[in-house]
Amino acid sequence: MPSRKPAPGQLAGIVLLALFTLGTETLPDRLAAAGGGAWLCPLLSGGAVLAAALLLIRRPLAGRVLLSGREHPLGARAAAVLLLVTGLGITAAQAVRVALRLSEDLRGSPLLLTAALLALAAWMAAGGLAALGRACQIFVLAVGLTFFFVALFGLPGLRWDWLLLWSGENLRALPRGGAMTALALSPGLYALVLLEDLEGEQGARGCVLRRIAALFPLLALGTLLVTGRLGPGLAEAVRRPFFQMVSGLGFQGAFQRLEELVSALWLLGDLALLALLLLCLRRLLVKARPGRETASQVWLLAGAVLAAAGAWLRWGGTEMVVALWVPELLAGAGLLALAARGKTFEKMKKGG
Amino acid sequence: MRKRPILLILALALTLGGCAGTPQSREAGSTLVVSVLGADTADGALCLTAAAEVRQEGEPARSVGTGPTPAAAMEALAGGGDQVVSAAHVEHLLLAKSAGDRLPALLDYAFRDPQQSTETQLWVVDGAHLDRLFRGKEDPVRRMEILKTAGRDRQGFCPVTLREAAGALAQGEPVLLPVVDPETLDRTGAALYENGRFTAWLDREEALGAALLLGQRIHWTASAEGASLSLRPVRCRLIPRWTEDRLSRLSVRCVLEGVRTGGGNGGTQALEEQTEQAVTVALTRLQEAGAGRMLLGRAGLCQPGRWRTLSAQWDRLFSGLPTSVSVTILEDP
Repeated sequence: MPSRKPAPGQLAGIVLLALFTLGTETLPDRLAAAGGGAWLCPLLSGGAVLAAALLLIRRPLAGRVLLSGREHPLGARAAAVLLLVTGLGITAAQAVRVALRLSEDLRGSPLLLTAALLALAAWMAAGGLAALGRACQIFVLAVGLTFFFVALFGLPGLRWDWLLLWSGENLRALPRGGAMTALALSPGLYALVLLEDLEGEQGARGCVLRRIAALFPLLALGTLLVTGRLGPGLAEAVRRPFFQMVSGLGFQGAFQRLEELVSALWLLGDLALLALLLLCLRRLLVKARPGRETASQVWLLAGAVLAAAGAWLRWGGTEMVVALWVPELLAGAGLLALAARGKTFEKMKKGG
Repeated sequence: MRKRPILLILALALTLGGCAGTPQSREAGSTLVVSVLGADTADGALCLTAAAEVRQEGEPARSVGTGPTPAAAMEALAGGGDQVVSAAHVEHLLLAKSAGDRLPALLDYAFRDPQQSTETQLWVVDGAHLDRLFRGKEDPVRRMEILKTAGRDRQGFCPVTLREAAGALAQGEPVLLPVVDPETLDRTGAALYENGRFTAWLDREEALGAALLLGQRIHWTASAEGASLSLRPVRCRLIPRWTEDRLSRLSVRCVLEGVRTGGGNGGTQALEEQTEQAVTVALTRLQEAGAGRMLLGRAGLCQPGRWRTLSAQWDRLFSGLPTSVSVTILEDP
């Protein structure tokens, strides 16, 4: 009987897939201030994130934070409530983002599409982290292969002068772009609350670090393709520049207009993100109100997310919500989420 | 227990049947799949004429729509006939001279409407209006096929897509658009477009020189002194020259590869001079039109270390910059 506990590499795979599709869609226009240097921002951000990950794995700090959490359960519970509320908002924002994209492609109602997405994500999450991890192993292959072909067809048409010549203004925008990248990918931090579910194994540390390290160069490549084919000015002006870039790829007379196909495949990553966030929210719900984790909690949370998403679709302001809650998320995640189980880090340290 | 969520998902999946509203979901017979779109002006409004490929004998299928904006004109075009109009695979956008100021709006529309293709090739028609192109039994789709093939093979020019034009204009760069004759649909040269208007018109020789300056991977056949060579650029570098920290000159160094296609030996030097002349004239026209930003990136890539100094001085000095051009043809034995 195989273990039901997922390996750290599986969780890292889910996070890689979810953040890759999130980053390729949302980063290129946000990083446009860095002009031709936009593709450097994910690399900058990746360096910082990798350094932080290394530090966490090498130092038993997480374990100590966990202990302090256990010694002060009230503080841990308050932090769990804070993260739960912000997490609901962030999950709703992500669901709305995907639904709006789909509604443009399919000309369907954004609310209905949000409901469909959340139902699908909740169904995936209800099976547990291990099942999600196994599904994502296949999703990663599909998305990875597609991106390989996108890069293959996209690279020959790049304008290198748009990519390699940076003004002083562009260079000054790089640190901000790096921070923007980290903020855009911050929903991935929620995965840390699931660390205690993981089973330590030989080579786990290296596997996790490899996946984290792979994410940022891939995002840099995605940004490079967008900036090099559309130009920094146009990338900033159009909606969803990554899919606009993809729409121009193909062979005349053979295949063209691949954006719908890529958008559909990117949905796998979006579903992985939503399912992962729902699992994290369930863990936080249990931390805030101790009890057993059940599948119905996932459906309950999906309903709450749908209600929040409906409110934002009605009154707008998704971007503002994300912007306001990200700092809270960073602070809260540092205290509680990271501290889920120091043992895992220790295991990974030994295993690696 | 697990059946319920699956049933729910299946029920919700029914709402995703979004293809119902898109032209691709219609039967082919009832859809006018537009291949060529003409943009013209009529009484101050934008007039779009759509032409589809003719599959059987008869009048070419076309539709006309007029409106103050591209979206309104497209809507009028789609609602004007008894067919559904699909503009998802427009191959060519023919822009009349008189509609030059509508190009930014057309580009904006192409990027805002998910139906529109941004890989549509953009052509300028050397005439005030397009009616001669789309009248009677004229079939612009079939006639554009020749230009399409020439563009794909890069025979003397590179076609410009809406994406490339929009990208360059968004960067504040002028765009070099191929110009076609309204009667014959032959390529007659190129037009420089910037800030919502055409700023210069280049004949075929000047357009060839400009294509070399832009580093386009074209090929063409040239003849001199009874010899004929097929030429293609190997590299064409724009090298800024400096006097201390001031940009003082621009050198153009082109190396072409030539394959003899007819005639006797010799003629290489004459062809080098001929190509030098084309590049020099094109450079002069670009200087006169103040189109320096089009070449700035290429000059910058030659000296990336001096990019900041170059970009600071380029706009101010380009128009009066002394230039020198040299072309070398390496003959393939």
